[in-house]
Amino acid sequence: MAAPGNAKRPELSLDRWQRVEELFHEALDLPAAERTGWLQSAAGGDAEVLAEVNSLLRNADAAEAAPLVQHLGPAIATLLAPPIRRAGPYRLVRELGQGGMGTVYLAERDDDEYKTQVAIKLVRRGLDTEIVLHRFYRERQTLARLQHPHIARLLDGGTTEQGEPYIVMEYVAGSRITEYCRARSLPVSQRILLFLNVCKAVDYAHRQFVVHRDIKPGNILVDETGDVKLLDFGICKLLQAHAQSGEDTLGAGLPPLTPDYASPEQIRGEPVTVTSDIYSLAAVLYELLTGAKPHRIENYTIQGLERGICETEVVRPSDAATDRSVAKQLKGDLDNILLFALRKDARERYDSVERFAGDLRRYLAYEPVLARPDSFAYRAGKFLRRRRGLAAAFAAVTLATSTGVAFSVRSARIANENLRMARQLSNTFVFDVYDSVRDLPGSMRARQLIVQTGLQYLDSLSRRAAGEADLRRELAVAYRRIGDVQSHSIESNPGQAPAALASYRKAAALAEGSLIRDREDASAGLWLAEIYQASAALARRAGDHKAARAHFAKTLELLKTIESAGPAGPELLRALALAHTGAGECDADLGDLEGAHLHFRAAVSKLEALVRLEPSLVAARRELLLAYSNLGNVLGNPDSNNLGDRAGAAIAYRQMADAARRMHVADPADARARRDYGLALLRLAQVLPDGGARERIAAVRQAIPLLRESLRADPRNTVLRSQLALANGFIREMQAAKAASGGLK
Amino acid sequence: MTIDADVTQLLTEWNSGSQEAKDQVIPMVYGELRRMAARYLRDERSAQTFQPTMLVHEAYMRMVQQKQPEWESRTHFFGVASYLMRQLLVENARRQNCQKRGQGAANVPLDEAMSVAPERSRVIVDLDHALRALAEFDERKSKVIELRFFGGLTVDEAALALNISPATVGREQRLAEAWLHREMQSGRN
Repeated sequence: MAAPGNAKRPELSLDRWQRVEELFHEALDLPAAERTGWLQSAAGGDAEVLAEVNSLLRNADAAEAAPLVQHLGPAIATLLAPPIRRAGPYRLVRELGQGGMGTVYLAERDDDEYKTQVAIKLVRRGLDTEIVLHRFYRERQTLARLQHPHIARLLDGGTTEQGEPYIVMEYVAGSRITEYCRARSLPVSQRILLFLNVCKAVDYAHRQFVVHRDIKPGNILVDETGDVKLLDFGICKLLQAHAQSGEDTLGAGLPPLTPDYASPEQIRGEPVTVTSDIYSLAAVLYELLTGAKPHRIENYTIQGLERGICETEVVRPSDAATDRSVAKQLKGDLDNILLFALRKDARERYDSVERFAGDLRRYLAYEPVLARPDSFAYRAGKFLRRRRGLAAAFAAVTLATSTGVAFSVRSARIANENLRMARQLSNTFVFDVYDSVRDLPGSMRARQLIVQTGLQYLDSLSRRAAGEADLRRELAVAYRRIGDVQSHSIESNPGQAPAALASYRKAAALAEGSLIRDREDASAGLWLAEIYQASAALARRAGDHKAARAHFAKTLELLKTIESAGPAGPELLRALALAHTGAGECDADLGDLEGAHLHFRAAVSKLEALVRLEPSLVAARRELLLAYSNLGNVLGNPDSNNLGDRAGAAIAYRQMADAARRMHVADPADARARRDYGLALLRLAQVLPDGGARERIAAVRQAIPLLRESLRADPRNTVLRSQLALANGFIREMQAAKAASGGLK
Repeated sequence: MTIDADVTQLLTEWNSGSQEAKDQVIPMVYGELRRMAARYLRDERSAQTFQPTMLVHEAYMRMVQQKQPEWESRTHFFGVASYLMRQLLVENARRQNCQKRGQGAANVPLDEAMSVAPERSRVIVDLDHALRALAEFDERKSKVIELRFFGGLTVDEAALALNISPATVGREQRLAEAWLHREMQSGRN
């Protein structure tokens, strides 16, 4: 029934309007059937009044059917409440800041038990999500491993329902290091001390093979207690892939960067290395000490940036400082240190953060510093003239390899050239060059060449590395890196497995000698354990289960030694769980179900401990869910070899379903959690004893809509399809059984 | 609390005709309403059970809390708060309608609530228009709606505030709703 929205309101005089009101109320009190007749006579021939009352009565009915308040409540709520934004299981509380790559929010994760505050970086929309995610999952492991008191941790990541990738990081409440120092008017020496903590964090990350790439004051926060934390480690690289396809960044192909602190090689789009971080660190220190930025950038075009960063000489810090007493302190050593770290040519700077920091410490201790204005004036004569891009880097290293030793450094005080080369090789060559060509079509041959060349060079270096602990360490890292690269390509090139294993073996041999003696450094032990674990996984993939089992045993032995030294941190717990899982799978492969059972159970207990310790690590929760699944499978999954312990399996699957339910409830939009939950319920239903018919029906009924929904999103998933068929079969069986027993009665 | 004392004092002064008191108290109430709305938003759980009209009551409790509320201040407060609430909502609705139209690439909100929002914010703006038209020839009816819908007052409270009987409030509201319904429908065609 259409409401009469046609006529303009008749202009009734006040007394006639009063009459309308009276009639309206009286009519409303009458039964609807009697209204029309009564009104006809009551209106006394005033057609306008009659029409108005009738119109109002019809609208009164319509208004009753759809009360205004009903619209109003939600409208008010929506208007007053800006939409609650979510990223997966996290609720975005408020914006913390905006950056080139996206927006950072303070967020909370709240499910049944925990409420943790985190920072979430939401990547800008419209970027190439596929690539970003791909990179993200590949790098996440490495980044999550960075555990240092001065580094904000990477906790998790995923995509929102709208498909925007996000990254979850430890939340740090603090101000920029520059603001912190300015607000407190800290003297030069204290600024340097604070900065040295930043150096420690960067140095630590470099040893783990992670380059920051975007060091700037905005990424260095200091809290009220004076504790400094570095944010966004490796994030820049993580998100770089998309930027190359975007057109809105500075110049094509340039990753998002902060020109005030970016190194010349970053501006030129050349491979980024540890020395680029050193440059950016120095740019931050320059600002901390002088109050001015080292670059004079006139305009933010690519030419303007090249001029300001790659060509114009940096003003001597003591000349840049406006405060005269500060300028006096900077003159001499600090000028030299900063200008040395800010050299245009990456190869002329300090070659490690440690050496840069060392000079700063020497300055504070009134000892002579190594940086001198003239002592590093070695020219690139022996070097290929610097060219842009990969070709130059590639050629440079190839040359270095074929001639054996390509560099000679006049100052023996700083550079152990072997070490430097090992670093350069692993950092630039394997780490960046390989990564850069990997996604190029047809780069297989180039990649093989890179690996081959790298190996030759490492082999020749390691023959001479006998006594040098530092070099051995660096070499171990480089071999491992090569091993990783080789095993990455196994899918396309299965013949690589023995070669990759050999690289791991070399890395392990070098590390066993040097790293493991370093007792206080548990992370070194974990690092070695990872090599064992990687070897084991590789052997298993190659089908050599016995070798895999031996590698897993070695991994576990080492991890348990570390565990016996003190309380296990999250790193160790996770490593133990992974190793137990791998060992259990290996045992199952070899038919040793009892062995597999013990390992899976151990993995469960380690992961439970990990989730208790780090409730915000979503990845750990999912790993725990999978561990329950493994345990249930070996105990009593009818689809696989099992120990026939259905009751035990039911317990494990119930825990699995419970864990899955929590993840599903925390984030109903998470397709994986939905699928996990559905599958877990179904597994549970499969093993419930015959006495548990009621629970079985309930579980299957719950599972079906979840599986159906999952299948709708992923229609080609055959596992889902078969599981859904299984579930429907269950229902039919139960209905048939019911009908049969009903028929008997 | 001095603030409580201030508001009560100002309401009393306003009640006895002080324009100055009115000019002072309105921004205070307005600010309080905004703050409370913002607070509701921050907490998801309370947002779910959120009764927007409770805001006015809560604002009163927070601002004028005292053991024996002076009746006149209370009436005044509710009248003012209901009006301000309406302003606040209309203003927000207008802004949202605008944003919807001129939305840039930046910061597209994540929540699906946005897709319903234009419809809802339009209801608010339409209602505001209709209420103005109604007030032109029957201010009391528009006041009843304002108090009941935007202020969240009960029938009895509205009756006291307008100094009429509860039965009259009921009658006024029924007719007003019918009238507004027609007005809003015609506005749509």
